[in-house]
Amino acid sequence: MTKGLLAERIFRLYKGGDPSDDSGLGIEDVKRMVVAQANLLLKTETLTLNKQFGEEAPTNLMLATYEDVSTEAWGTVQSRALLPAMPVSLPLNAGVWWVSPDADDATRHDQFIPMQQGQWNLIRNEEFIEGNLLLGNRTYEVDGKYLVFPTDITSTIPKLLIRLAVTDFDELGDYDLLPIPADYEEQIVQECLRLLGALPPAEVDDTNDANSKS
Amino acid sequence: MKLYKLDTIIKGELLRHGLSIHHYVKRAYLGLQFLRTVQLDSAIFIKTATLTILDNKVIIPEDYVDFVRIGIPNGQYVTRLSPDQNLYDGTSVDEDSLGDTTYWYPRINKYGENTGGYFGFQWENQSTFKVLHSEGKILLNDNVVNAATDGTILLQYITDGLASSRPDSTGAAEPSIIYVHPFAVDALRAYVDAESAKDGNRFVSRELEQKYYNELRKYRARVSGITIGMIKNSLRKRSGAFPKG
Repeated sequence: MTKGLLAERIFRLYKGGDPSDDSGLGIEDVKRMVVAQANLLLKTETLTLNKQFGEEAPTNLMLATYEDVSTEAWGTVQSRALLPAMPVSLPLNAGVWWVSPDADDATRHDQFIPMQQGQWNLIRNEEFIEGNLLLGNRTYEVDGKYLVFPTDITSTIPKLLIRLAVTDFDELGDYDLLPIPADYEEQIVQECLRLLGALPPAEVDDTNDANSKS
Repeated sequence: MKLYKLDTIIKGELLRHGLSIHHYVKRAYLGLQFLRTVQLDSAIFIKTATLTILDNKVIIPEDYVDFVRIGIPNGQYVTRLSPDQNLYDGTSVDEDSLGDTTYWYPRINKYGENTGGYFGFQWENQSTFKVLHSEGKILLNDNVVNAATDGTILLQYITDGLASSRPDSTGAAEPSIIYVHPFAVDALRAYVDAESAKDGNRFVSRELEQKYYNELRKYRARVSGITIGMIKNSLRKRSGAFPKG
C-alpha cells in the first residue's frame, strides 16, 4: 500500500465517491493525515507490543536513515548538527536512534552515546571522561531540533550518519511503499475517517456493569 | 595480562538485557562506582610508577589511593624513603645555620630496614618525604633530590583502578579507557544489574542484590588467592613440639 493509494481511498470514502474539484478538503491534507496516523501507530507498537517481548528497538519500518548530515561549530567550545527530521517522542530520546560519523572507514560503526539533557554536566568531571570521550565513545545531547556535542568535532567529523525513528513525510513519494505493516492499513483508514467526522466516535461505556451502553 | 574494557562490559550488559544504547550512561556510571568502591577494601592492586622530580615535588598519579613505598631506584633494589610530617615546603635548609641543634631522624638502610642505633644524636640528613594531599603532590627532602641522580623517584601505591589512560601495544596512551580485571567482571555485572533494578520490582531487586553479594565473595576469594593448604598452614604455624610441663 502506498501513501497516495491510501489517501485516495480515504478521500473517496469521505466524499462518497470521486471528490469534486471544489472540495474543501484536499488530497494533500489527507496524505499528511495518513503519515501522522502511521507515525502514531508505529510509536504505539514500539511502546506497547515490542516492550512486552522485551524488545526496545523500534521496528525497522520506523527507522529512517540520513547520510551526509553536516556538523557546525556552536560557540567556541561546542558543536551541533541540525536534525534532518523531527523524530517521534520515545523514552530516553530513543527517537534519535543512531548517530555515528558518516565516513568510509570503520568509524562509521562508532555509535555516539546519547545523554539526556544536562547529564553531561553531571559527569564531565568523572574519571571516565576525557575530552569529549566517555569510556572512549563520543557523546551527544538532543536539544530541540539539534544534536549538541560537548566539544567542537567539526574538523574531525564533518558529516554524520543519523537514524531517526520517524516516518518522514517529505521522504515518501505518493507511490513509495508506506513503511507500515499490512494490518495497520485498515486502522489508518478508520482513524482518518473518524478524524474527518465521517465515522461516529467510538462509544465509551462509563458504567461498570454487565449491560452495554446501547 | 588479560584485562577487559569497562566499555565492552557495559555494552555486553545492554545486549544481555535487550536494551538500547540509550541506557549506556547510567550503567557506565554504576560500573565506575563499583570499581571505585570495591578496590578500596576487596582487592588492593599495587602499581609502580616512576615520577619526575620538579621543584622538590612529584605529582601523584590520578588513580592513587595510598602509598606503599616511595624510594630511589638503586640497581635491583629501592632505597626506601621515610615519611616525615615535619618536612616543610619552604626554601632549602642551610645546614650551617642549624648550629649545634641536634635533630633525631630514623635510620634506615638501603633495603628500607630500620637499623636502630639512636645514640649520640648527631645531626644527620635523611631521605624523607611528605604527602601533600591538598596539592596532589609528594614533597621530597633535599637529600632525595640530590640522591636521585636521574631526577626520578619510584612510587609504589594502591590504585583505585581508574587511571583513564594506559599505554597500548604501540606505547601510545589510549584516552578515557578503563580496564577491569577478569576476576572482577562477574561482580561488576551483578552490581550493575542490582543497582539498575532498584527502580523496579523490589523482589527482583533483592534477589539481584543477593546475587551481587555472592559474586563479590567469589571475587574476593579469587583475588586473595588463599587456598585450603594456606589456611591449614596458618593454623599449624602456632603449634609445635614443647617439653611437657
